[in-house]
Amino acid sequence: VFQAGKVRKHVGVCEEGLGSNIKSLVSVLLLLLLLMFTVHCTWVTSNAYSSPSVVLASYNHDGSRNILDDFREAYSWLRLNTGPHTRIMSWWDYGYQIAGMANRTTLVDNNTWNNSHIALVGKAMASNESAAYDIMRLLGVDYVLIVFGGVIGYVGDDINKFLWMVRIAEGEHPGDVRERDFLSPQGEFRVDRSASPALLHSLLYKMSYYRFGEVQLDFRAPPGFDRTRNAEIGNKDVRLEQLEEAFSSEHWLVRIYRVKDPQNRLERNTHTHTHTPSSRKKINQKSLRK
Amino acid sequence: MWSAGAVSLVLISCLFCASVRADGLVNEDVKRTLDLSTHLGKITAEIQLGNHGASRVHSFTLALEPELAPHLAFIGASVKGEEEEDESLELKEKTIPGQSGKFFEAQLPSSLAPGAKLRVKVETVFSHVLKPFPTQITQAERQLVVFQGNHYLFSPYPTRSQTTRVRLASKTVETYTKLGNPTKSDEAIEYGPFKDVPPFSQDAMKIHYENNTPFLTISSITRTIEVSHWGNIAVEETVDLRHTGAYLKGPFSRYDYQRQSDSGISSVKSFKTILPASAQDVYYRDEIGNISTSHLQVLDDSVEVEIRPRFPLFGGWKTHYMIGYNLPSYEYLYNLGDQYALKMRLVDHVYDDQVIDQLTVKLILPEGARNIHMDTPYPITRSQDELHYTYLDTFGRPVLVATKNNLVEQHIQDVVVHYNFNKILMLQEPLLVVGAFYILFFTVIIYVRLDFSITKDPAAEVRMKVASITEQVLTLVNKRLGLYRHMDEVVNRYKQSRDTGALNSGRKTLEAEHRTLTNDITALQARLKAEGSDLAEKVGEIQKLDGQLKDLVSRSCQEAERLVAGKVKKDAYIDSDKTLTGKRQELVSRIDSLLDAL
Repeated sequence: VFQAGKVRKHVGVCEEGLGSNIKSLVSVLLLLLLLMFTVHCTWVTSNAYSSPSVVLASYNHDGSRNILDDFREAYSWLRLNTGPHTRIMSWWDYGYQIAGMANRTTLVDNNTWNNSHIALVGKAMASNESAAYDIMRLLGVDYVLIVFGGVIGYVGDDINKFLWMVRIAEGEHPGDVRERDFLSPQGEFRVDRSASPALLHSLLYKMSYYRFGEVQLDFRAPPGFDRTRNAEIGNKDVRLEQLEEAFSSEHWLVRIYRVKDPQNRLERNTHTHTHTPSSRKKINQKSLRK
Repeated sequence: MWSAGAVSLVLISCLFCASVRADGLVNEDVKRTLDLSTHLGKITAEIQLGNHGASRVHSFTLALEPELAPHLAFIGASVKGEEEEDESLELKEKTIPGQSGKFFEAQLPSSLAPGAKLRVKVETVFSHVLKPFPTQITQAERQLVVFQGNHYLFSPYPTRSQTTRVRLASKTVETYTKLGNPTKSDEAIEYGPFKDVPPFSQDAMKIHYENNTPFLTISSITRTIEVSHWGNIAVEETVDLRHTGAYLKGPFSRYDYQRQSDSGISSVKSFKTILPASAQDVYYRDEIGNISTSHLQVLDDSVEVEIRPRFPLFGGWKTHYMIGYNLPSYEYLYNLGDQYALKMRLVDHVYDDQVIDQLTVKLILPEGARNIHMDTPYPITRSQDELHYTYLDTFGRPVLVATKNNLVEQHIQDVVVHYNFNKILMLQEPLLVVGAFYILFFTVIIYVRLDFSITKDPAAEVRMKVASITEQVLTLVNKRLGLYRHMDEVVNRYKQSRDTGALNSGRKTLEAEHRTLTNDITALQARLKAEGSDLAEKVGEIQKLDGQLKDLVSRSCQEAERLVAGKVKKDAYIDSDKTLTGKRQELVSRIDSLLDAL
């Protein structure tokens, strides 16, 4: 019996090469491996490369996670316990967060192009309390918000950004704010006893370390030990006259101060910001001076 | 005329007295307890009622002072039965002409005979009656509140003897009214016993004391219950919580709050919410995001969530959050055929001694629920039914909306909602999904078969035609080759069976089919030529080779016949057979190569 001929459409089974079972097994194994790789990559990226900066997390020695939700705590306090038209003064980094989470009006935020306005805020942060109070009354500020990382060792706080506030303010008001005034005699930026007097009297320093001098976090360290700067602060007895502490978050990360009404004045509307003619002229002259 | 007026006046006054004194009931002994240890005023009165009248009495009247009446949140009355069991009485509000305040008529289970006595227990809960005084305190101060009430039981019946016991929240009492020389023990003040107090008597009681218990009020809560017949009930509560104690005056010092244990003593750090035992997937979040400061504890008969708001609540501060969970529907949804009944709590536990200023309940029933009927344990205000649209909804789910003001913990009771639901409608959701995919695939199938080309492409068309013709040629050629194989089988059988008849019939069929196939192939070849394809020549060659092949096949057939007839010897046959086979194979391979080229 001989073959009548190969039929074109029916290809004969090749005898050489691997069987289809082995081929499919290897393909499936490779597919599983690739899928597990995807899962692994997602886990690594979420843990190592994308920590949110609004919620901080630290891990205890037993591996459990400790969440520090100070930012959201302070923003929700602002959202619920301040009036809808209150104005918040803070450094521009937190502008969008305040607008988004706290739903309040800010003076400067991440997209502010008006450098003079940011310089005014910086000048308020860098000046002593009474000069800063004048600026805040001029701008109609109700609350001031700062970030202070000294209790938990958070490095992105406002004291670490302070020199930038000073430099920006110096750009617009070179006669009033000078960077070298805030450095120690040796030219370093220190917050301990060798800090410059201008720094010790500045509003930001006072707001950051208000009541902090009494805090003793560790029995080995003295009270008032700033964990971020690793230094014992210079002025432990901070007194604020025209601001009062409205809210501090659980780990002191966000501190909110209320701007008090001026003392020794009669009852007045909070919406009208009247000044004595002399003080207004003083401020206008200061801002005109280049 | 004067006498007629006087007589009518006397008659009217008699009638008036009669309407009140007609039942002749007298409170023989009253033990009143005012529980002021939380932020609510809970007044419980144990009254021994005596029928001093001549006829049987079927109901009696409860009264509330006009100053306290607007703050009433809950009132309940019960009677001690023979087996020492409390039977709760139905209360209906009524008015007594000439008297201000709130009055309730309670129906007795069995009428009271003249001369008989009955023990009644009346429970009332008042909200917002403890007013903080001073209204603003600093963080270091303690919270003091004032309660203004009544020394006596406000009742339409005379009281023979009564005592009042006031339970306070702490030992510190600033001032308290001293009627009848009260005794003050640790956290309680005892007033009385007062004898022979006339009806509707009021004597102002004022207690100013320290109360640092949580003064939390839920200013508004929206409870949404979504029922699904696939086995799940989703409950979500949106809560606006407020601290209604003394307002915080001045700064909030985090340092003092953390270091000193009695700083901000009246502030609220956390509270416990008790959820139903089968609650799962509990979430606690607010407008900003998830709140991680909560602890869930699953117990045998409940699920306890310790909720810690983002910040501690001081006087005047408020917080807002959402808490939600899933429940299995078999525990709350009952059905018989097409009739369904949902039995769920109208309002659930948020914290102990809760006060809700405004409650909104939204019950979302599955799409297609009809004849909806709601049985509530206490009167509520029904708003207009709404429609809620969510996944796979076509005509919307019916939403029952109910509101009520001023609720306390005693209002945590079940509401029953009856409705009809046709079980076929459950198929609507999967059928929608299936239908959607079906339409998608159907559209794609039609789309790929449509020809949207603007100009006809002649070359492509010719190629397609040629391809189809070639396919037909291939099948026919293969059929023909199969014929030869069949012929071989016939010959072999003939060699064994020597059946000439079978051989001849086989040959005849071969001839016939071969002819038809060849004709078909020639026709196709002609068509190929008409299309102008060069494959027509190849087909012609195949025909030629095929002709030769056929000759060889018939020759082998003849050889077989001669072998059988004995005309040729076996060896010679085998040799000739071999050569013929070789030639045939050669021809077949050439045909195959030509076929491949096609």
